[in-house]
Amino acid sequence: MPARIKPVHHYAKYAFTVLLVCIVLFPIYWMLVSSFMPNSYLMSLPPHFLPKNPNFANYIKIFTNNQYLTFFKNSFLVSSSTVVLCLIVSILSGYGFSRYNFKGKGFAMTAILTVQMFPIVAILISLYTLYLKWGMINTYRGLILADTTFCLPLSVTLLKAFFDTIPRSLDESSKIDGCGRMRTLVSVLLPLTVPGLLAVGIYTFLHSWDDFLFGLVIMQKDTMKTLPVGLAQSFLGEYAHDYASMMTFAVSASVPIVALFIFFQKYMIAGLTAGAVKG
Amino acid sequence: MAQNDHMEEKVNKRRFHLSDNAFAGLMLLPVFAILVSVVFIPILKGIYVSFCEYKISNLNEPVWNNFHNYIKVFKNGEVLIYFKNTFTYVFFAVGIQFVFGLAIALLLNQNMRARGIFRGLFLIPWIIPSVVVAIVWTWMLQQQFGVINYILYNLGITSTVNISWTQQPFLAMMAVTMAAVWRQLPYMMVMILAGLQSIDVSLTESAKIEGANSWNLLRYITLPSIRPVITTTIWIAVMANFQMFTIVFNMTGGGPVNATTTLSLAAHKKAFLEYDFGAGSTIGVLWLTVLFIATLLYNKFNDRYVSDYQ
Repeated sequence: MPARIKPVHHYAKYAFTVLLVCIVLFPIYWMLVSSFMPNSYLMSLPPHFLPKNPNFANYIKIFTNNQYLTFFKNSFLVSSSTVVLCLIVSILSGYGFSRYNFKGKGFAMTAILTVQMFPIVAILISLYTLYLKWGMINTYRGLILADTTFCLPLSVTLLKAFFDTIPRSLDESSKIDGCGRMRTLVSVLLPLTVPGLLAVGIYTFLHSWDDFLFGLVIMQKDTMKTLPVGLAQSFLGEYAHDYASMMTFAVSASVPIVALFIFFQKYMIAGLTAGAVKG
Repeated sequence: MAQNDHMEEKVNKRRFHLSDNAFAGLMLLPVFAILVSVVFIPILKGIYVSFCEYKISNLNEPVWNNFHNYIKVFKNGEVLIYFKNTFTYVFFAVGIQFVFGLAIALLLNQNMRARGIFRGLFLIPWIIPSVVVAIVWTWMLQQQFGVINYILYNLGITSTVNISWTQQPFLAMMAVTMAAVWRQLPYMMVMILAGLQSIDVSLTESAKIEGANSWNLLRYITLPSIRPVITTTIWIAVMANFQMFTIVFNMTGGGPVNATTTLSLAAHKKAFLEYDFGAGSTIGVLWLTVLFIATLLYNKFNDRYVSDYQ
């Protein structure tokens, strides 16, 4: 029997997919290429599709500037604290929603979900005036609280869904073993929910790392600004010409999050699709 | 002895006794404390101050001024332009990402090796921070040296290499839509792909045996099967784009002459650039009202769909 030759369209499918991937990823490639060249090369036609004399000069410039390093520090601090706070709050409420039936449960869930739809800018206007009164403008806790709030709807729903997949019989046997309700949560349920915790944690980190609007309004001192706001205010605007530094900063702001994504892709996609496909 | 044990048990029970309702309440306390202070109180305050003269000068005491703010934002049809811009933007951003998202998902759903890797690669734009998206596209669309102008010119699509994307209303809207679609498309694609993969294979197989061609398969089997996923995902995308601020603000700043000023940008501008918190809140309240009506319609539509199939 002759070896089976696969039809042309079999390979065409792959070729087409690879081509699409290249188109979709081109902006990222372009950002990378631009970050390794000086402005004089960027400001020329035809554009250099392959980097000419690539070097790290732009990166050295960015990472020896204390102001820029402060933006990074602030972003890391705010994003990781948001992850911790959001996880604690959504573990508790996910547990409550998953394991207990009480009057108004459906209403409570709906109320939490509705939050996603409220116009954030509109909330922010009043929140800003309230923060002024509460002395929370230019504070980490102010920004962390705001970021956490808008991560909660998805985090709570996701964790509830993850808790729902764990059989209740486990709760009961741990109760017979003498565990209290909190003990059951911490030593029986949480270890089984690790993928869910990872999904929620990464989602929260992504979300708060991406936040621009809250950072813009709540953090007004340069020493408190986060990366997105610092990036936009340092380089964008009418007199934006330093595209090389702009791209270098852009790459540096994306790298931590892309690294996180590469390591935890599996959990993120599971978390992402769990909510919508079921719902 | 036995009695002692019994006593001890009783004491223990009493010490830890908390009814299930009370315990559940305790679990939900943090989430509701946060939501009430960061969302519900500000919303109520926003509704109140939308009827007030409320500026940076009288921050502690908003002064009631009836419908003055509403009259102000409706004057010259200002707020209608913001609504129109928002609807235009949302319609194109969501429509385009749905069509392309569906196409790529169908492509990846074919019997294909390395699907996971392709899906991962397609997802990368979705994790790029919005500000980065805005500045990368600003650079690619730069007037004189932007790579997109160069490529379009060399493909013969445009007649000049010097197109200013931020100076013309239509092009500016197109630019922000492109950037937003680029970032959001992967999410749409992954959701639809997950939906596609949940379709029972025997269903499509039997349709093929019955002689259905690809179009019929898509039209009568695939799309109806993933209809819940599609409605949910589109709804999420509509809500997210209604809120869109970062990309538009950083690419065009709402310009040229308000052509890309969406509700988000308008409310932000009123409150934080003109320091008129009252007028900013008014835009927020009008927006909230429209969203409320849209949600009612969506739920009604969804309920009808569900009852059709019950």
